[in-house]
Amino acid sequence: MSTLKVTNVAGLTGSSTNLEQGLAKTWINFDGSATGTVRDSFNHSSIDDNGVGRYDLHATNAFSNDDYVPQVTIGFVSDTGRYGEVTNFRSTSEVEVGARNSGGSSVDNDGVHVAIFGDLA
Amino acid sequence: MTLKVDEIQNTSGGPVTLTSQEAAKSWINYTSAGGTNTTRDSLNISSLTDHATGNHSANFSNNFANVGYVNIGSVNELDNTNNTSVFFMEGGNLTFANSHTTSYNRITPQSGTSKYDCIGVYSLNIGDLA
Repeated sequence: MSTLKVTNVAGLTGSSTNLEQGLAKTWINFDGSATGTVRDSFNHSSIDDNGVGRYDLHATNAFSNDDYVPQVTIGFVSDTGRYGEVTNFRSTSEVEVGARNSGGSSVDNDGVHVAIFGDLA
Repeated sequence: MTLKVDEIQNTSGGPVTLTSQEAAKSWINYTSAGGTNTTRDSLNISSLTDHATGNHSANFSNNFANVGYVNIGSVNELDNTNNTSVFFMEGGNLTFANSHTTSYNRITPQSGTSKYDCIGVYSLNIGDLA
């Protein structure tokens, strides 16, 4: 196997871009209900259940700072409106995400999708 | 240093492995205003299916290998009268049993559980292609 190491990649006629900064450094698809089953993930080592509708996600390889960008989308449940959130707690290797109903209360959700963009350490 | 190429493959002709990072495998920007879905731009999306108001499927050109891929999205509301526009997944990945490797559903509700078409729907998918 060969490894190509470059900073920028460009089309033959297009402008170049920093490939590393534009890619997701972690992503995870998990069941946030009672089971907490991870369907698939990348660069996540574990999940902590912080109570109803709150989850700590641990990165295998940490970020260089806590200025990364987490994106959260959750599944729809017909009886209530719900939305994903990023809470105020984060570190270079851990971030808390959650799900809330239309009334603002935390609720478990069986389809939680998270992708994080930023710089790894 | 800048490498200029049109396509990169691994030594077997498949996708390359990007160390400690992954690229989006599909994304789309479309409007559903007025009940008509119009794609502004997209990657690896062959078509949109309109199931009902605020409920659309995006069909992949190249399918995912499994249903564990991630679907992230956001929306622009139709006007400024509703302030709770959010992007949901329905059917496509809500439960493992209902997931699809060929497409996913999304809905764009506003004001609680009511569904609305929006002027802008933006989503991306990350995972392993088949």
